[in-house]
Amino acid sequence: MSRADQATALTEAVYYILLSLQQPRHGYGIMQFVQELSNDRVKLAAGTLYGALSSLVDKGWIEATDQEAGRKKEYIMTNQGRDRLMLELNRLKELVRHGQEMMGVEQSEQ
Amino acid sequence: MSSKTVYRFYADYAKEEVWLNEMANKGWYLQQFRFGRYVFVEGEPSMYTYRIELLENMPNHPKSQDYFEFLEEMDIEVVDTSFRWVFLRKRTSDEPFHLYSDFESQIHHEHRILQLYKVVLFVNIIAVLINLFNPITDTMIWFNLAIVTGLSFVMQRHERKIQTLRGLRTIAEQD
Repeated sequence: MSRADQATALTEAVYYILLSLQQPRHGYGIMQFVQELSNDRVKLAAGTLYGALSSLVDKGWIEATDQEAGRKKEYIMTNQGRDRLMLELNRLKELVRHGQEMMGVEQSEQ
Repeated sequence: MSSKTVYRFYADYAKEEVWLNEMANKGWYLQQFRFGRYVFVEGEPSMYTYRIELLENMPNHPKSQDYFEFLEEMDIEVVDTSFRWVFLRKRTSDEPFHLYSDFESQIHHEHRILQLYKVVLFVNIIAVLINLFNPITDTMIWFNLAIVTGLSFVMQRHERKIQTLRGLRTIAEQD
């Protein structure tokens, strides 16, 4: 994993795609899952979703599962993808913590 | 089912897309496209939304075929292809149909189109030069010059569009 990969923020599309691929899903399944999870806020358009899936496969963060002929192509997150997702989660936590500190928002009790 | 054929030439795909959707709102659905020749079939108004996309590969390339399968899963229909261009449509009863949901992928697509314009421009400049020094086909030079001029204009506008998108991306990922 290159340093640049660790430092850059993931796009919202990539973040949600990775979250959805802890179990195998096909394109339409990913789109639906993300839309439901985000209460209709994040709607991945077909071209954007396909482009993101292709680059994630190239990076090795997700992979296509073995499939029978004629079935829809499914993807699943790899260990490398999971590592990257955890890094992102920590980065997001840091963002939220800084925001709460600087904006004087009380942290909710965990 | 009645059909009609319309001849038009668009250098800007975005305007072409607007026109196709105006036709669809009136109940004329694009069925076939061959360089400047559009065949429409009549139906109930406003059943489909059309989108035009420039593919990374030719339509018969395995990667494009894989993409088409993916689109079909999303109930997006491939109406026709021409060179690397593809005409897509989706039922309006579904969600509003867009191909891109963030600036990044939009910029990527617009950039691909600009690259294509550049190739066409280059070929035409070469043609102008050849015609200059070999004036057997001296009427062709005006045709090529017209393309060069028109294309430069469209490319400038396109470049500005990409700049605007890049500016927006520095602030947010999407609208």
